[in-house]
Amino acid sequence: MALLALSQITKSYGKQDKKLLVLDNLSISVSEGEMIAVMGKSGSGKTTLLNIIAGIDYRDGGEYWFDGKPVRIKQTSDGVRFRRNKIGIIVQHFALINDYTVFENVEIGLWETKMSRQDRRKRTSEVLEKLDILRLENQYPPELSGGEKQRTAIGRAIVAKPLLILADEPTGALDKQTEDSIMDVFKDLNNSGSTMIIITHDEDVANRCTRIIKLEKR
Amino acid sequence: MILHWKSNMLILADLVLCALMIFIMLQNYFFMKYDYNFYYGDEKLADRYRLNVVSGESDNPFEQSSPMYKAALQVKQDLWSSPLWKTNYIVLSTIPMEWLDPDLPQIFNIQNDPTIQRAPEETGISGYVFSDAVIQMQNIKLQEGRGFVSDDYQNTSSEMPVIMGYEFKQYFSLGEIIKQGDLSYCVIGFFEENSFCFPGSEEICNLDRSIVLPRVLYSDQFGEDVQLKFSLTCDLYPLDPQTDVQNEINRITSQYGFYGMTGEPINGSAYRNTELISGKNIALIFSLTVLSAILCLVALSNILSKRTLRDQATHCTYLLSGIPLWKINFSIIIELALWTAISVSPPIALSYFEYGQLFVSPWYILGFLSVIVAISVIPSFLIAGKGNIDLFIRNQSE
Repeated sequence: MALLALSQITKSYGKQDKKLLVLDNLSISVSEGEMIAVMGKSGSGKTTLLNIIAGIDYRDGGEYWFDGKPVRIKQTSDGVRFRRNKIGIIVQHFALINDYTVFENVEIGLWETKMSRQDRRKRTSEVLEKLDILRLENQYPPELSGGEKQRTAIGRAIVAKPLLILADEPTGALDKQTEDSIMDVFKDLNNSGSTMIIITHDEDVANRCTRIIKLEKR
Repeated sequence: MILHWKSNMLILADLVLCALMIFIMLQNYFFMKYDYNFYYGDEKLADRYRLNVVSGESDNPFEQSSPMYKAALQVKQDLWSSPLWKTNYIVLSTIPMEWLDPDLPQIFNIQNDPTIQRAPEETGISGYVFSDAVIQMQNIKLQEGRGFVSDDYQNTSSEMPVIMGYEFKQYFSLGEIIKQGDLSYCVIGFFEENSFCFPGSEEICNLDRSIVLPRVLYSDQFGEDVQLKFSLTCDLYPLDPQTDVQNEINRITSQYGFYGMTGEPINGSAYRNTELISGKNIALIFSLTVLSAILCLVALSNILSKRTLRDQATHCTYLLSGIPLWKINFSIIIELALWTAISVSPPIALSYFEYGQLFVSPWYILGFLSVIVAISVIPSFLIAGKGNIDLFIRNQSE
């Protein structure tokens, strides 16, 4: 069953005479449990696609269904509401809050759930355990290695058990060894049923996914 | 909140300064308003009033030879029997050397102390004459014995009852009769240690080395005239604080064609100690307050804007995690509300320290500060609202 479907999505930037068409009639469908790599050269619209899927950016045209419902994002708050507990996002440079501990950074993903504080702490600990960073729970991001930071960011993205995990160049800032360990984490998550879309330049990363979508620069 | 302790301290300092300025302005405004009412308006409230007779220099209405003497007696009668207030007086009375027992220590003798100027017949002992309501109205506590009763004021044939200060307790005992020539005195009570009385408008007198009498010594030397003078320059304690004392005094004096009398508020009002504050002063303070409020607004807005700009990445992380913008803005409001509430406490503490009470409602100060904070937070909301997750993701990826 398709978790999300994009039909004839168009997106361009700039004003009328200098319009830059980034996505032109793009149609894709992602089924539950898939692990998709989106590849393409710089400027091919990978991040734009991610933004549209995540409700961060608005599409100019086309249809978007998520979990069987049409998605209409007209303002920032619509996007925030849409993402909440449905989509977990991981970015290349982790987007961690340096003044929060690892535990608190992961727990942010549960702030908008209706879980009790006790349940939130329990769930956060479970995720930290799963990602093998429980020992780091009281440390702050500047004290972590790149891999540990990315594991923390993954923890924040998955802690609320979202339907879809979006990752934008998740291994872009990591060395080869750390990249492999992070991909192992993604693979484990996928094997346990998580649907994932990973935007990457890296062939090795893409090859570990179940499907590759290549975007052409227009 | 812990994350921004430097900016928070600046915000708090700004708000405290502004709160103090607003407090000073409002306080002075209220003082001015009170003084205006005191001099020109209808409000004449005080706990205690001191009566003064405004008589001509050529006539002393307290002498029996004065044509006003009878009127004075009638005015005294009406004043002292009025149900609107209680009356009393305290008169300083000389205690002669004969009072000194040879066994009393030298501390009671100040004749050898060059710093105190007293007549040769005076001692270190203060003597007071209390009218019957003084002890009750000034809440003076007796450690032992009793206060004066009406018989003590009327019966002049027997021993004169006296109440002594705490330091006499080791030399005299309750019921002891002290004979001094033709006069004799009976000790009927001792005051508690560190008891005080308020004889005038300003001074407070310790009673530890004092002896209190119900009437003057040697009444044959002073006579009824002096008693009348004491009675017409007495203190009034209105039973209802809303009583228009001056109006009632005017009514009584005019009834007998007596001289004008003024009821000067003595205590219960710290306003009284402030001089009349001019409108120009208030205008100046008001201008300074407006200026400081503008400066506070600019500083606050600047600090908050810079802080929000610095926090944009954090806000984007929140937005990515599904936390709505209004909650981010609300957290700013909560934090500012806390600092605003705290900043009201220094003016309150100052007011209590200086006057023992609040003349300016904290809600007024809070209201002023809230307006300043509400305006200064607008740029921060605009900045927070412009947090662009798309740019955040792309910039991070570069």
